[in-house]
Amino acid sequence: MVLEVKKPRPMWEILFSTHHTDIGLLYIILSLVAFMIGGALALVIRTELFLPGAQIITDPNTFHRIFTTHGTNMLFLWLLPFAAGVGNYLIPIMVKYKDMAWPKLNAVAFWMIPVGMALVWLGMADFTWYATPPYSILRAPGPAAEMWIFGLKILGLSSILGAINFIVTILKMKHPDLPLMKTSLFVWGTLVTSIMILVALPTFTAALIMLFTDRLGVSGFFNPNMGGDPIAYQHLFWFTFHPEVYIFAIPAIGMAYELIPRFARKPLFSYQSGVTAFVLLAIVAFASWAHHMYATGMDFTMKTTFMVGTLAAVPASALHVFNWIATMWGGRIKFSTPMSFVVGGLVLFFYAGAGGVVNSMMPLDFLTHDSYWVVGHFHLFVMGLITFAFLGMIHYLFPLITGRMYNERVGMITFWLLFVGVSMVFLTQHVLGLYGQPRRVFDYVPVEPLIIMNQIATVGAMISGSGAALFMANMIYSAGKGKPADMRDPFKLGEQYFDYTRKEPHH
Amino acid sequence: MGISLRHAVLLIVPVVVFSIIQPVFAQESDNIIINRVEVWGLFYKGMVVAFTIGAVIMGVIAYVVFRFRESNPKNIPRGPQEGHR
Amino acid sequence: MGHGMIEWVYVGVVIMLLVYLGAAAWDVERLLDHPPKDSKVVRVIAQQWFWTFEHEDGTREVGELHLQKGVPYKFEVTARDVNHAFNIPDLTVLIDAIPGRINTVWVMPDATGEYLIQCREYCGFSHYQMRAKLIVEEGVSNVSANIDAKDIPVVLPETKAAVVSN
Repeated sequence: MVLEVKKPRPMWEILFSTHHTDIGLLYIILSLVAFMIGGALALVIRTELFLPGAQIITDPNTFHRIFTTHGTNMLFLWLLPFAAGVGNYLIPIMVKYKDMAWPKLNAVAFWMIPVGMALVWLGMADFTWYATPPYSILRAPGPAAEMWIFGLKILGLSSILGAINFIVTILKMKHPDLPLMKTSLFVWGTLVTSIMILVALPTFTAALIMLFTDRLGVSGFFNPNMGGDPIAYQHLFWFTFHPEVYIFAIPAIGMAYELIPRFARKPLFSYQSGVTAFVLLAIVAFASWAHHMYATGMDFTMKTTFMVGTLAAVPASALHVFNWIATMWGGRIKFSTPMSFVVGGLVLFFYAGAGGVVNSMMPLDFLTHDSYWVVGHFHLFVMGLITFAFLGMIHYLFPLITGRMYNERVGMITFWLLFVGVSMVFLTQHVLGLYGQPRRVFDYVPVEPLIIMNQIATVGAMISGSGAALFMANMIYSAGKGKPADMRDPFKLGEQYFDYTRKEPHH
Repeated sequence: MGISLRHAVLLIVPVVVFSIIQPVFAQESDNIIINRVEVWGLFYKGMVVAFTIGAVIMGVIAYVVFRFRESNPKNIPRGPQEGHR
Repeated sequence: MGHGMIEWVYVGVVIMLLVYLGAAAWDVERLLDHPPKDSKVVRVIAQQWFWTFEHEDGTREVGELHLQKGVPYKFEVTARDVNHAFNIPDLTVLIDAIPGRINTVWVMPDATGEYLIQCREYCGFSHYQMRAKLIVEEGVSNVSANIDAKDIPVVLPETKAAVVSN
């Protein structure tokens, strides 16, 4: 346990620690804080869009800064650090090693994140989280733009250092008697994600530097006035960030593989299928980036190539879905909070994927590109599958980390509020997009269908927000005053998978 | 030699592909198409597939969640339980 | 336990459906990719935060575009400053407007009326209200006024020319 019930540890011991459980906890706390702040920004956005015209935000510039920061924050300060946190906590235990391969490097990688966070939040750039030139070079005001660029540079470095640590820990530090093909699928997910990070991130690292020098005027990579090509940036950006969306998703899928067999009280249907699906997904993820660029004026052959590459990733996801359902089939499933979240996430995963297939069909991009359909689609992934898997996992790890149990009834209420809220917001936004409402707009054409759908989305956002707030309250209260958990079997599953009584050496 | 699966596939695939890409040949005879009709038509096709698969998968998930939940009377554990240890 | 036949069948079905959808998409894209030979060219120029349209005959319109029903148009789209995107939602026309580059998209408006033109790529302060109006009118060549029998063109068999016999 990291937060010991009977003898609380001094704060400085956790902050200066290099032990994987402490650093994992720091990552988790930081990411949850970012989650709440990003969520607050989202509620501001949705409130503003409740009606046409200006509501609580009086100028569009502020609105643009808010949605840029919302997106940047949620992706780099919630999704990635939370996954790193859970990975930090569990991977050494799962490979039966005492810590991560390089504990001090681990701490360094973590502490880079608050720096990046400060730069992003204090800058509040306005050029969307894509930072597409020429706008980001020629028109976006500094120092917000430079702060965003440097912030992301630091966050990217942190990711890379963490990835190296995970790869070495899993491949080199695992127990000699533990073959890789007998490690849990969460280990595989973390390994695959980390390798993808190393392959994908350097491209964006280069693009960030090029963006910066373009802003300074000393280069003209993406500046059409200097003979540059704005579309080149999009290739560099999406070559990183399409695989990146799988980097967001795969840890969540790994967590689902931890939770579903346990709560279904049944062994995993097919371990090999899981490994195959992870490896397949990791490779194919690199073959589809320009489906984000169908509207840039690509030629027919290129569009076809990327459509095929995009669709090729679907069978891998389908394998995961099959595996989970087949695992649950014939089990005796306990739908406590962690399991409810994961199965809810599975449902939303399907809708996200189905919408994604529609997007990849080239001519349909004429309907959906840069509209609210896309907003609904990707949020079903990040707020649906990924966040739900994360929340399920944090409820599951709660007794392990704190020694106490959270309130189960509140947990289930949280789940239902979030499931209903998230479905309301993001399924509606698919239809909103079909009606033509563009993304990233401060205001919209004041016609009834658009107004009604925006209002439904806002109500859904409020419901989700209340669920998230209740979740935080549950976590914070229970961490201090929750009932001490039965460490041998906190969820009363009847079987023991985790040695919850294990004491962590702290150094 | 006889007719085998290979021959059947060899015959069926071109027929299917040919019938799917029929409208492409209309282009060469300069039939002007209405863009939005084509695009939305394709969209509806995608929707039919998505909702059919969706219904199947949601149905299976609903069944699994209902039938294999812990509180289902059919799920009371009987006999000696083998633990995982 | 293990893979089992059912998983292979399931994956096979998924792949077949994806191939079907991919082929259907490829098919429609082929149609949309080639503007008809006799399309009229309209140059579309996007800039922060309004639209300029230039017709073949040199007429320039700002904020409004007049087109004729039944005539195919090829839009040559570009931008002056940052990325924009030319979008007529009701006619499913969408293409990025990139400075330094000309992108092409075509459409044949098939019904008269007023349609919305909007920008579909974030371009800064007034992106959300960077709109224009598309007005589709009855084509002059499509208007059937009082037609006399003598005004109906006749194809001469020798030269294959169509002449209006006065």
